[in-house]
Amino acid sequence: MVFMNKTLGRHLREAVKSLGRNAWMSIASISAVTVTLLLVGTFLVIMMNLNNIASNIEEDVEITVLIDRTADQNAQNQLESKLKNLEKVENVQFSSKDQELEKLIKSFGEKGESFKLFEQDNPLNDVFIVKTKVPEDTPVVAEEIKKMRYVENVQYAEETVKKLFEVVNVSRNIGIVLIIGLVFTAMFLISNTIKITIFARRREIEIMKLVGATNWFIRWPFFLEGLFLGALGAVIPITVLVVSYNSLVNIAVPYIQGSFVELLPFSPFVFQISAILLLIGVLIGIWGSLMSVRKFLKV
Amino acid sequence: MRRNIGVVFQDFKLLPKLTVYENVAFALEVIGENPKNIKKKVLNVLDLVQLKHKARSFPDELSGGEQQRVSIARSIVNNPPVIIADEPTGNLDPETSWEIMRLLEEINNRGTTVLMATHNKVIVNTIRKRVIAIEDGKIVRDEARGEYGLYE
Repeated sequence: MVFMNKTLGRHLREAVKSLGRNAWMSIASISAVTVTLLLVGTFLVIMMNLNNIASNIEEDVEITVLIDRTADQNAQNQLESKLKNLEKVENVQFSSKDQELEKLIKSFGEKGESFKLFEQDNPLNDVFIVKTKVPEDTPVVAEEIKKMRYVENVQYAEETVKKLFEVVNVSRNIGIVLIIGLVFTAMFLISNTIKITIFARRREIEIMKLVGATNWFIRWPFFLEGLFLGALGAVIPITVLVVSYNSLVNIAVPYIQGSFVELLPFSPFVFQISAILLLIGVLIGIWGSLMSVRKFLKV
Repeated sequence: MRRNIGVVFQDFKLLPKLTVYENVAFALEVIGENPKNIKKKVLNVLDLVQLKHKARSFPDELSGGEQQRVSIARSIVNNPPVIIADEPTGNLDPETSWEIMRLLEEINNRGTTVLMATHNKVIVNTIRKRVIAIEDGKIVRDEARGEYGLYE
């Protein structure tokens, strides 16, 4: 590190020169990083979206309390205050049967038109939508509400949610394992390719040491070279990711609107992923190059 | 430690992809010398070994003697108190060897200790400097104006 600031210019020059001199090897390393980061990026996008959906659903766990049709306004108000007084309940919302029908029609999209027939004679109940403070309390609260008067039935999606969480967890673990595997493969490939370029310069390194170069003086150009390889390897994946996620959002959003599935918005998300990919690329490159120089510094 | 000692090798050990100038300058870059001084010092020392006109040539464009002179220039460019020369004439013909020896002598006259290993009998006998003979890692002879030993 010692002479870094004084000779940084020289090291940069050397690194760029070396990239050009070993053009084919550089291209090989860059493509290794590119392929890895493409896969890692895709996994990251899928995983983070799954996560997002899962936590959306977790937030959406709510109890639908169907109010008995015989209940008058007074009974309804009583029920509402009773629900609100429950300790674990966060809020209670009233939704008339007309509103419920509207929601139903909306959720079916274009096919929902056929439900409009029911507008004449609505078979649905007026409902209270109850949200608990903690999603895990949902079953307990639901049982409690079921016992109250003027409650016809109680609906909640606990089972589905549980299953969904299991699926998300399993796929997340698989994703992490795959990503780690891929990253290691890329590191291995890069350190090998750099090793080959260094092998050709073994004599050079030996002479450098004999003339009195410190290890860091020799290492810096390779360090920077690895950094550039990683960063260049990240360019294509990031571009692909930005473009394809943009079009994915544009195409998919109209279809899935209104359903519980929701894509993360383009703006902060894609840039976060890009930064992560760039960081992974650079780290892979640096690690790969340092690993391969290490051997040749022992003269 | 390598920075306080200049080393000259039998096989020159010049960087093949650098020019003569760059090879000599490298020894200074390595120790973080500032660029202005580098130019001055390198040109000075190339002048001393009479290779200023070849500054832009690459090592493989030079003869063996010239390459060895570049190597010497590199070893003295940062003014070390001691130069170690490991058979500097081993790969050269007798004529060129003398050129190198004259150069080393001149460097010596400027106040730098030159420690040289050699098996060249003629050189040792002619130049008449302090001779140390080593056998099996032990000093067996140390003479102020010695000759090449008969048994060696």
